[in-house]
Amino acid sequence: MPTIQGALGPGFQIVILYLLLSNAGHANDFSYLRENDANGNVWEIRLATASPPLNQIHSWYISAFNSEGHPLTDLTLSISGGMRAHGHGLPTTPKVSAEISPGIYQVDGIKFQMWGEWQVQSELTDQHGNTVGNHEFEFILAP
Amino acid sequence: MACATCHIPEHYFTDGRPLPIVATNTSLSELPTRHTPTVVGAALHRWQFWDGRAESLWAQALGPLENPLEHNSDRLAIVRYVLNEYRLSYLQAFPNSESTLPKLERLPEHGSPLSHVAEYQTNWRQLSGEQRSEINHVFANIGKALAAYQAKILPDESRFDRFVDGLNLPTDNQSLSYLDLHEQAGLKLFISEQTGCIQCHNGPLFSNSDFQATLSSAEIIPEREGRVAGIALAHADPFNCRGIYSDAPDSCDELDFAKVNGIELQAAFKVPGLRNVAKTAPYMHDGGFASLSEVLRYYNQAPMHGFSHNELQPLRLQPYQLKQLESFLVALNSELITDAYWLTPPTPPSQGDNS
Ligand code: HEC
Ligand code: HEC
Repeated sequence: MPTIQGALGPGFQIVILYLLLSNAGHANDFSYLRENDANGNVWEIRLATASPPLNQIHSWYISAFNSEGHPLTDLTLSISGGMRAHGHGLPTTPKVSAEISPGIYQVDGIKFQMWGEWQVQSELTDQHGNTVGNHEFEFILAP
Repeated sequence: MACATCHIPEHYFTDGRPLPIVATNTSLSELPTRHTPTVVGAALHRWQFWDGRAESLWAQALGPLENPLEHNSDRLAIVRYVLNEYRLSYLQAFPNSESTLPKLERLPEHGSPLSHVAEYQTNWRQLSGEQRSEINHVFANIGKALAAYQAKILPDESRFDRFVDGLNLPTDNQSLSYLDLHEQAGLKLFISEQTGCIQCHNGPLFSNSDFQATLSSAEIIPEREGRVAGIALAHADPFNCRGIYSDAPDSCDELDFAKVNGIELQAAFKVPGLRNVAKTAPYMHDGGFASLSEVLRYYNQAPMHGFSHNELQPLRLQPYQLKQLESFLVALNSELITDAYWLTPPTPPSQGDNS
């Protein structure tokens, strides 16, 4: 699990700086993630920013490849997410706007309004509604 | 009644009452149920009102003008008043709008689609589509002028800000003195994982501008109140970002992507900012808590009201820690950054005006 620095205690000088400037860039890099799911597919996230911004609507580019490296293309991607520990979902309803190139899906309208541990689930289905692949990204958003 | 009847500058633009006073000329028996929030820094919030039923400050400003419990006026009377008394200033602020101004002499005195006076509603229905749109344009512009004014009302630096600036400036060797040890301990608690305050109270105003269920009041119907109601109203509002009176109908991400259903929206209210919070008692959407110590005592116990969704866990802090948290909140006090010119009421242009 990628950890974007969790400690709030001793490092509080840094934290309060970001309290004020919490929309500014983050020290920790998370503009790209690559993970395998249980079925051998490879999932990638790309962001236009250095890491997911707090309180700002932004886009994710999600792509998936099968174990042979072929893009999972011409499918329907659906996204959900939230903070399991707090029992709430995302504050927005993200929409998949396009498959911008084979196997790369653009998801708009993602927002995180709290620091802490987030889960984002993505699922690819074919035209019959059968699941072709799914994966959960988990990460800690921290100042 | 003026905006400042409830948003009183001496009270940090709140009214110091649990619930606001009611317009004396209202015919409604309904009473207000929402506490008056401050307008200081409101321009920095993404959504307005406790339930976020307006998604811009200008759309928000149109609400109280026609609300029977507040100004209890109607848009035709308001447009008439502004164009009669302030025509020149209006045309300076909104140049090139002269040719599309409503022809007031051909219109009834009163009219609004929202009025609770049947006659005013009928008047509105009898106008042509073009007349309604001309009136709505001026009405929307009045909202934009009110919003432009409110955008100037911003808090200045607090001792907390100087403390933070000091920590980041190695040459400032008195930085630690801006907050005493008690307040520093409160700050540590505020940003700790144990309290989780910055989960919701983050960003420049100490608010994520989002909607969270903290269930301090048992007096509400969760399925019908809070964000769940607010987002539906925001979508239905002809003065929203997507509407024809909007200046930026192509950049409406907040409205377009806002969640419209889900249990999290029930009984969820906007996270209020915390700057100068010590000056704005009582607290919460219903004004239900008289003091900061009552608020903190609530967070410490966080009772459930039997609703399924509450985001708070009891903090179980010691009494001295609650005091520390409170002293930190007081250290967020500051003056306004706003020029005194904007805080002095102008002389009214004519007598006998009741808007
Ligand atoms: C009778 C008292 C009253 C009057 C008059 C009044 N307001 Fe308010 N104001 C309130 C109350 C109560 C709320 C909260 C209502 C709600 O959320 O449902 C509010 C909310 C607001 C908000 C939203 C702030 C936030 O953070 O959500 C703004 C901005 C505002 N008023 C500006 C104005 C302006 C501008 C005027 C004059 C055109 C005005 N108000 C007149 C009582 C009043
Ligand atoms: C889950 C999000 C959340 C967390 C965590 C949270 N708050 Fe709040 N806070 C809110 C919301 C939402 C309100 C308004 C609730 C209402 O009106 O019913 C609020 C209201 C307040 C108010 C009253 C402000 C006013 O103007 O009425 C204070 C003070 C406050 N919180 C301080 C704190 C402190 C201190 C902490 C940490 C101990 C904290 N909050 C943790 C969401 C949160």
